[in-house]
Amino acid sequence: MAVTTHRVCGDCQSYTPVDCFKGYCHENGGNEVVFLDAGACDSFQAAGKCKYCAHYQEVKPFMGHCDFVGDHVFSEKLAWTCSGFRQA
Amino acid sequence: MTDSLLPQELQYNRFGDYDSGEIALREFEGEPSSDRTKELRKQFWDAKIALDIEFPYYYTVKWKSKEIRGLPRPLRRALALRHAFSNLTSVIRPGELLVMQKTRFARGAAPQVQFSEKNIWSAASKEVDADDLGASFDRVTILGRHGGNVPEDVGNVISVGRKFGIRKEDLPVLTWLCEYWDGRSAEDSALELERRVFGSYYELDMKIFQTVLASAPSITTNPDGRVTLDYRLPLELGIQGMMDYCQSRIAEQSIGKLDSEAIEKRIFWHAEIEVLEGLKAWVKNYAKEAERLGQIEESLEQKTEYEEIADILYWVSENTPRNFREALQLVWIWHLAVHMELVISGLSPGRLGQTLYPYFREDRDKGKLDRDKALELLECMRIKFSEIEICGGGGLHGKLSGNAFNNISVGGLKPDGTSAENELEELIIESAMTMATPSPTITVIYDPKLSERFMLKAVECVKTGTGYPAWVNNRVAMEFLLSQHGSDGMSLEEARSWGVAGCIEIAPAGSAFCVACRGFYSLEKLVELVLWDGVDPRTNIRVLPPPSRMETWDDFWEVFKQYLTETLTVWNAAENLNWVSHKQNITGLVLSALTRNCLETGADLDAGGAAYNATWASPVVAAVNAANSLASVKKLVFEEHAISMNELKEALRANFGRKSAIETERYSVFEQVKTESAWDDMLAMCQDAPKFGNDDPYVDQIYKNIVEYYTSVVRNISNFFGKPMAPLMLSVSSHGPLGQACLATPDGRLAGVTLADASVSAHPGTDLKGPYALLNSALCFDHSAFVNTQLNMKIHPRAIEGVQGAKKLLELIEAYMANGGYHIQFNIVDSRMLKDAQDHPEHYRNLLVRVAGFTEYWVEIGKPIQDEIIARTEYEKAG
Repeated sequence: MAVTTHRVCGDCQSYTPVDCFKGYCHENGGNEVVFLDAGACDSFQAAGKCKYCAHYQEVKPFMGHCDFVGDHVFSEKLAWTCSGFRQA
Repeated sequence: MTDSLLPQELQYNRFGDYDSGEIALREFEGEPSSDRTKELRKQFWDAKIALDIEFPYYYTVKWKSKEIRGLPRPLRRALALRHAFSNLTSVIRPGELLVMQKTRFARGAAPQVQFSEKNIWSAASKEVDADDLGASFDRVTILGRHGGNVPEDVGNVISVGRKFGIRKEDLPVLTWLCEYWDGRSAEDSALELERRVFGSYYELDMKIFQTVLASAPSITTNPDGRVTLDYRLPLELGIQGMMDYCQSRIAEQSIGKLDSEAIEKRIFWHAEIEVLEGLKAWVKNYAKEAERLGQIEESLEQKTEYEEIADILYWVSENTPRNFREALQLVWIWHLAVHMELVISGLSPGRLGQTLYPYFREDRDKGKLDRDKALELLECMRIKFSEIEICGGGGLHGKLSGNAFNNISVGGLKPDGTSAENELEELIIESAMTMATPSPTITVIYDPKLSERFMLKAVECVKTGTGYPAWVNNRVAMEFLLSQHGSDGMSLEEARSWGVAGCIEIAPAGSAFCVACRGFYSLEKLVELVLWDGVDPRTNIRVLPPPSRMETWDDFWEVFKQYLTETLTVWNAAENLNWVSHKQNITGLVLSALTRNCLETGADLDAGGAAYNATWASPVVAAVNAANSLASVKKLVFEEHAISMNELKEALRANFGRKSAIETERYSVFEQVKTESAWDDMLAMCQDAPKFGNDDPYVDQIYKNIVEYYTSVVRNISNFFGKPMAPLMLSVSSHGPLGQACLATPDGRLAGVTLADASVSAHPGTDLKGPYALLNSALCFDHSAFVNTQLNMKIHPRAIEGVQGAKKLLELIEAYMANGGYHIQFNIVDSRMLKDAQDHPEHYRNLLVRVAGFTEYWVEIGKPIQDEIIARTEYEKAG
């Protein structure tokens, strides 16, 4: 599959972390070990992170404000428990 | 030139016939019982240790929110904990049977900045915060560079404390957290209080840190621990049942009788309900994740497993367990929850084989659980425990070497006085042999009523070289417990039910207030202060006033006692003062729910809710080194007048004409580099002076005097609840950094060399008369007066080969126990293997060793400790 240069495995829905360097890719039901910073493939689907949400506004690198919860958030925060998540 | 001109292979301390053949392997080497657990262990070995900001982030966001800012602390804390637990990312890895983990990462820890932010900030920013009290200790701490450690920045991963990796995108969050908690953390408020109300003692307390007379303060960086848990309420009531119980206690209160005490109880029960809601949400989130994985999984087998996990988690999120696997999962959830709410070490499951036996027995009798499946579950449990990491500054890891000290006790007696051994406990031992992971460590509570079959099974585990099980004396422990807690109503049945907490501490079963300790106090450094009239020779800081006279041995001994009394009293009193901040800011609510009496009486641990509230003083380290040094001074200076005090001090300043261990990076007696020969004779005299570990009454009496005097001092110090403190002696791995903080000492030890480990282990290489001479030295005082004593021995694998060898080892253990020894444990290893592993760590990823009261991977231990273990006397014969 072609590698998309601007996206990394760690930002994909199919990624489960092991440590700061690597994790598992569940794409196609597999469990391959991949590096977090490796370029993502064509199957990339953005994980529900605050940085991908329409409610997120960056204030400084990796930190910002959410106008849904009305409070401070960090960009890598997983928003899957958040009812207000809306893909930007 | 190096001191040793001997060939490399002879440069080891040995007692017995030297084995010149190939490096001896351990007689038994376990292998995981299934492909699953083999793969899980490989994943564990491959994982790097990581820092995760999620928990403190969610905790802080809620803590600082307007709506709860004004609430009384227990409730405010409970709401913050609930928010944190409810919002964590759930992570389940393929192949797991037992699930849930502390962070997003397999070997992850959270920087709990609400406890202490300065040492974390120093570690992350690599700039020492001027107010970081741990800085002095950090400077003498050397950590391992291999295994799971992240010693340097790599790509987008920043090294924190030379151990953890943190993503660079998480670093701004950590910065934001540290900035918020600066001045607000438990440590900051503790030290500000101390500064304001401790008077002149504050200055002395600070000097104790600066000179490394004691290690970095743990009172807020790692305050809790050395405790066993009571899983009774979660297992008998379930999470929902516990919430209902709290509600029923609230409902019993009469509205017309809400005095301050009743209000405090009401607040506590409400706080517990909030925390329980958080735990429930956390478990349910994991159940949802298991469902999600089951939906996308293509392998039918793995899909079924995910669905099973989801079912189990949904059930135990509210209810009591229906079988052994659910009971084990629930125990794991609660154990993990305590690790997440606190920075806690020495959190021990206790007599887990007793706690879970009814579930195990029922499943086995009904044919629902076969032995292989039970073993596989226990092996999965071992991976989970080993993944627990604790975050603090570098100094904390210098003390703990990355271990969390989760201790399972097996053997001992049931409350009715019969042997407690059972099939589940045998499987717990078996899983320890097959998996060979650092945690949980295992301890056999030795009692003559245990069967030889059970004990030989435990010896078989010892032979794998994992360093466990340790062996502790049931009778000595029970004597201590009844003496310590009898006045608070402890019964004989309760005393029999005790378990080992932390490394080796004697603890009531799930019913005691606990402290990890303020730090580790160096008796060898105290000797230095006496020698130099109250001034630390390394930093030139005056700690205490000069003595009025020092002309005779009696004068010297009096000064030693006076300095010990003054510094130890201040040090331990400061712990109580610091605990005020603990009570206000970081009280353990999950831990209180797992301590008998707290929920029943409506009081958390810090409010005296536990059944037993007597605790211990901070432990002392290097009693053996101090005894050896005092023996040298007494004999050479005051009795034989072979050298004067000034000549001795000159020799110590000159490091006996050798380079320091810090300079050479050689932290044991071996391979030291001589720079001049002028001090050779004096070094020889000091090294030849009587040494502990040789059944020599001259030095053994000095040792006895030291520990008995230490005991008398701490028994006169009150703990937070007004109970006399109990004496505690162990090192963990603090003897590495504490050794680096000492110059050369009168026992012939060179500057920077690691001190003796444990409490009655000989200083490496000084025990020359065989194992029983060492045991006799160790038995020179009453062990039952102490929370623990600690003895490590290193034995060559061939010395205990076969059934006869096993029986010889058991004989040695039994002899020690019969004569009143409390604790003993073993490294079964050829020292040459350790040296090879030091030179070629890439070939020894899975090599485990016993450091002090814990087992750790060789490659993850710092060199000062590695050198010390290599230098320990290797017994070529066990008797």
